[in-house]
Amino acid sequence: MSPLLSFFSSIDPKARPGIPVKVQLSEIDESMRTPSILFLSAAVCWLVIGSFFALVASIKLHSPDFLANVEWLTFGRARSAHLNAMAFGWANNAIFAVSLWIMARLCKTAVRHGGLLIIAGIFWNIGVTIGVIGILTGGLTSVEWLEMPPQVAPILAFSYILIGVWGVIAFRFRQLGHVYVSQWYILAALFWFPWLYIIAQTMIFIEPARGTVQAITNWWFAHNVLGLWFTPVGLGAIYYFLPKVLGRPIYSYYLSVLGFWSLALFYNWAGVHHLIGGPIPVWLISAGIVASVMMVIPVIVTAINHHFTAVGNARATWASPTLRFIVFGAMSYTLASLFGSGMALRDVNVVTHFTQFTVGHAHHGVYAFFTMVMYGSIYFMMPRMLNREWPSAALIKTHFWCCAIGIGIMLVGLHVGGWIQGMMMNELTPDGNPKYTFLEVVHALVPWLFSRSVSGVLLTIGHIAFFVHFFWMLAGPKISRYREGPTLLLDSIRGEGKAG
Amino acid sequence: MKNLPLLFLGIFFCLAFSWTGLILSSEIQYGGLKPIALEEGETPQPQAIVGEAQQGRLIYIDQGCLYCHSQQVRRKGYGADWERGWGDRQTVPRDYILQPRVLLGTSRTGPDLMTIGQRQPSTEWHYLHLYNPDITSKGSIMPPFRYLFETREIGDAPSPDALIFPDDYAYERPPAGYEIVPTERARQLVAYLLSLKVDYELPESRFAE
Amino acid sequence: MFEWNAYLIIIAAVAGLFFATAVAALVWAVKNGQFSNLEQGARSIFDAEEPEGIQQDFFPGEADEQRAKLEKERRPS
Ligand code: HEC
Repeated sequence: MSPLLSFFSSIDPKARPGIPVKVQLSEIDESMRTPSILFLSAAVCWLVIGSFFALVASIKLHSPDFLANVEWLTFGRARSAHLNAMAFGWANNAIFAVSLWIMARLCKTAVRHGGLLIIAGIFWNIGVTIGVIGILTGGLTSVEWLEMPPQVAPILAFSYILIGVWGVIAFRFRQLGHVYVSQWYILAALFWFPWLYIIAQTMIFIEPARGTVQAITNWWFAHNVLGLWFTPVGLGAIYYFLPKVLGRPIYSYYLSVLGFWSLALFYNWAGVHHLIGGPIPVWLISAGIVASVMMVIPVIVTAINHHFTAVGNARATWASPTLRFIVFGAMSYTLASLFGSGMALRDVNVVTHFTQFTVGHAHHGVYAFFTMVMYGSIYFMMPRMLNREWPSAALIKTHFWCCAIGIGIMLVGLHVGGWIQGMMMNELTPDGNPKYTFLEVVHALVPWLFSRSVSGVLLTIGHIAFFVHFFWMLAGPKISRYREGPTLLLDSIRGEGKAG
Repeated sequence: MKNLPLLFLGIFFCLAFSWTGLILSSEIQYGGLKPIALEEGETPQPQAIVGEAQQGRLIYIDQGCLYCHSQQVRRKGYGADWERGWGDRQTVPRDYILQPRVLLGTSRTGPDLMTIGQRQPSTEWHYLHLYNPDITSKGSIMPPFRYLFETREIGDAPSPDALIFPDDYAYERPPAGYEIVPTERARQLVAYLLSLKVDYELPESRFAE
Repeated sequence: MFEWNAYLIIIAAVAGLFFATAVAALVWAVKNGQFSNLEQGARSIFDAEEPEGIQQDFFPGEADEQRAKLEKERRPS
């Protein structure tokens, strides 16, 4: 056999009849253990680093003299470092861990050659580190969502491909005929992200398109990072963990298929709504608005499906750390998406565009939906991979409440503040002059910006609780081992459960 | 669907479709726009910015001014761009074709800067404003960019562009015998700001239209 | 503003082609049985180890208590 061929056949985890499910499952969890934990550790570190930059940027926005003379922390750089640390550091690492783990489990295939995954993961994180340092030291590109100096793009692209391909391999060698919705979502996301990234890099930096075509490419990319990368993975995770934890199959499998394809079709086109009123052809904007409004279909379909799966299980949901976060995320998804569709309407957009409302909306999607879902997934995965319980219920609750209240304050503050900002900006006196000077608008906005810093402090406390808990769990195996049974599925407890 | 190639094709087509529809088609439609003169014999517009201003754009980019300032004027009646004096005509794709990086921006925490060179042509104003925005705009939340200036000993005579602080901001004044002057970067940045003008018409966008 | 009518036609053609392919693929998929047994797919996430009908996750330290409460709630129905 040629080496290449033998490599490929060694990837294929052949079905081995006769081996008990339990062993197979734990083997899968085991095979994903080291790579997943590497990704998650990196993710949790980035989360804390990103929170630091977020706080700095947020405080600067209402108290501009704070750290004013430190060039590398000037507002534009601090907020970009925050965004990139969160998007490429926290979110992507979390996605790699969660999506590959779900994929491996659903395909019932263990990951072979996990070592490659680890190396790719290390390179990815080196790339992001260089990128964030680049932003802080003058390499900021001022292209939204692509702020890292373009020189790191090749590192990121290559390590991504090495990581993403494992999801595809797992899918290729899956053992069941049935393909579950989560697999569709994750597979699609794994394909979409590299294309988006490479095309955007090429058309903006390597061979820049002329004029505002750049801006269109930029928003096609930036919005699709949310729509075709974070969202499908978040939804895939909800579709997996919600029924899994409750022990109830999803309400309608048919609806989930419909939701998937309508999302794939419409979300793609929605990004242009960031340029409404801007110097691009009107028909493009109209296409973006139509697609944004059509997004109501997948959103409602998904919401119905989630709602009817979870309905009547309030106590069960509340009793599970995973579901507390996931249900919070699922509800935020519905709300954030409906807001998003609304914001694409011209009459609404004329108020919200260019204001803090948009910033609030971005956090609605990326934090209240996506990040909360990732937290929930991590709470489920870790005990199964380490075969060990989370050390402290109190820390999980601290994490949940700080994040839930924190993001709640932020969303109210930015949406209300942004709306006021937009209304004041546009309001005219009867004789056709602006009613408020620009500085009056700024002054009216400041208290709302302050509320965001308050929420930022809460969120950071939550993140630190999570950070401590995560590494405590990694480091202190004996402390709580086998004391409790829930997520460990100890046999005695399982027996009890079956009896009921 | 159980079929990998089919699933893959569907996934591929959805993305390819939007890329063709949004990006490729706009590239075909107006990627080839050229500067144009309204009347024969006039200089074709827009013109590329050159020299110091061109360097200044790089400072604007690496300082992240874009995250608070947009550079686009929307049509009359949509928002209050006109009423605020941010432009006399809507900006159109042709206005941007010579910019190596398009800085449209999506945030107006600060005012639009598409025509700042016309609106605020004073170099001194810009230096003071960059040094500490509070001086020119009380209560501004724009960050001070003091690090774009340097304090140095006064030579034979004070430099012409040394900052002169009003009495309310006496605390910003350097010690006696010293002066605060813009560095090269501040000079380039202000040259860039002053170059931002929309003082020409295009066939597709006339003044007061 | 632009001569965009021509491009609109091209785009409409591309769009038409796209939808035709999509419809064809859908018809093929249904005929081919790709969509049969959909609801069974929904159950494919459960197995003997983590079976249907059993809550899988609790706060550490609260499992027994919560499970008892859940049982009590469900029993009457
Ligand atoms: C935190 C957001 C923020 C950042 C970053 C920022 N600005 Fe501003 N800018 C403002 C605000 C708010 C105002 C309005 C109040 C004022 O005049 O200071 C303003 C006003 C201005 C004005 C005056 C506009 C007018 O119509 O009078 C100029 C010029 C300007 N900024 C240039 C810059 C440049 C150049 C940079 C980057 C080096 C920058 N700004 C970065 C928020 C910001």
